[in-house]
Order: sequence, then C-alpha cells, then structure tokens
Amino acid sequence: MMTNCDETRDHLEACEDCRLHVVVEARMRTLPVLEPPKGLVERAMRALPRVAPVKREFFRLAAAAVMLIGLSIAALNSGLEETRTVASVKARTGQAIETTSAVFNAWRSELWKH
Amino acid sequence: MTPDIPRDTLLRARMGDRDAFRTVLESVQKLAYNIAFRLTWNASDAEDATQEIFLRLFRNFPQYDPEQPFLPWFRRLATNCTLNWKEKRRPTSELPEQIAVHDAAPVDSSERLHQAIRELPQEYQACVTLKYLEDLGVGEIAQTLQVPVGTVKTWLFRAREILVQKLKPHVETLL
Repeated sequence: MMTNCDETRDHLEACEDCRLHVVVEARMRTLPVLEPPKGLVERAMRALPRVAPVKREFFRLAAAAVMLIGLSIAALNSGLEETRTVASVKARTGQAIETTSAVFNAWRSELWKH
Repeated sequence: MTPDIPRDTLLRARMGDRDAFRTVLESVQKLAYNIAFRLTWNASDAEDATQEIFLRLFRNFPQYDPEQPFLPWFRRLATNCTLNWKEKRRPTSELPEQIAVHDAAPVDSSERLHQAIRELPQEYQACVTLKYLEDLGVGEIAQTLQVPVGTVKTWLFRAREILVQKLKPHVETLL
C-alpha cells in the first residue's frame, strides 16, 4: 500500500503497467468537448409534432369522455322506458355533452393560435 | 457542461410551452450532442441521435418529476435514447464504420485513443463517456444507466484494462 507521493513516484518509475494506466487515465480526461452543429435546435423544433404531449393526452381523455357519453345516450334512447329517472339522466347527460364539447372547442381554438 | 435551467422554464416546457422547450434545448444541446458523439463516434450519426434525444425529451417531458433535479433525468434519457438509436441502426450504419476503423491507419494519439474507445462494448463506452466527459461518480453513472454501482465499477475497470492493453504498443505517442 502506498503511503506517500514519493513511494508512488518510485513505483511509477519502476512499473510500466501502472505508468500506462496513469497516462491513459490522464488522456481520457482531456477528451475535447465538442460544439454542436449550428442550427441543431432549430431543426429539432421544426421536426417536433405540432401538438404537445400534455395536450394530446387531454384530447384522448376528451374523446373517451365523448364516446362514453354518446354510448350512454344511445343506450338510454334505444329501449328504455321514459320514466322520471331516465328523463333526469338524459337531461344531465345532455348537459355533460354540451360542457365537454365547449371545453374541447376552447382547447382546439387555443391550439390553432400556436 | 452542466447547464442551469430555471425551474419556471422547466415547468412551462413540461406543459408544452414551445418557447420554454426551445430554451431547454438550447441549454442542453451541448451535453446531448457530446453524449451522442461519444456513443456513435460519427458527427452525422451524433446529429441524428441528438435530434432523436430532443424528440424523446418532447414526448417524455410530462413524465419528468419537477421535484427531482432535471439534469440526471435528462442525462439518463439522452444516454438510453442514443444506445437505443444505435441498436436500431446497427445493421446499416455500423458495419462500414467498423471496416473503416480497421482499414484506416490512425494518424495521431487522439485518433488512436478514440479508436480504442470506439471498439469497447457499448455499455463500457457509456460508462467511460459519463465518467470522463461528464465527470460523474460511479453512483451517478449507476443511476444514469440504471445498473448497480458494482456493475459500473466492473465495467470501468474492464474498460480501462482493455484501453491500456490496446494502447500499450503506442505508449510513447500518448505521452
């Protein structure tokens, strides 16, 4: 075990393998840091999808909600007796559709601005 | 090569703000390009891999936890993305490069060193890049490559051994 610098130097003087290790280690630390090519960010920005992933996720959820509500309405309209409960559910579903489509349209028009 | 990106910019970029995302790219482009270059050893491939890194960053940004530091997360994404990109490209792009490496006579010690690193297995290359380019400790490298610390130590040890053996006949040119 080396205890001081002199011993380390003495060992390096005598040991070619360790000298080579030190040289390689030192050379590895001097690998140059490269400059990226000009316009790299611009090209990347142009290649990006127009819709951000967060917004895309919102569209997926909105589409799923619309489909679910649509299917509920279809089920309600198809064969159920028009009791008070069914009528109330129908009315609420209608409101939900209007709200969802309003939010969806707002997001869509927001997107067109970008 | 440790860019300082304001938290607010990161949060806006994460939510899909394109201006903020551009700022993030400008801050990390040097880091991304250098990681890509050290794993592909070809300027054109490094540029393509960097574009892929940026695209992956755009897609995966919502998964970034703002409570965690950004750079280790990005470094992991960049390294894995480049390794995947290389894996996909291997049959077409790597073969001519390998032939060129063996055919061409290295001109100087830097080229000789680059050639020796280029011929390392890719996990060793990733370790060497993160250690000597990014000056990361074994713990951070392990975190980036998602492998145990002991594995990183072994890979670094073996990588150095291989490099030393390959460069032994040319030691005088390295000095």
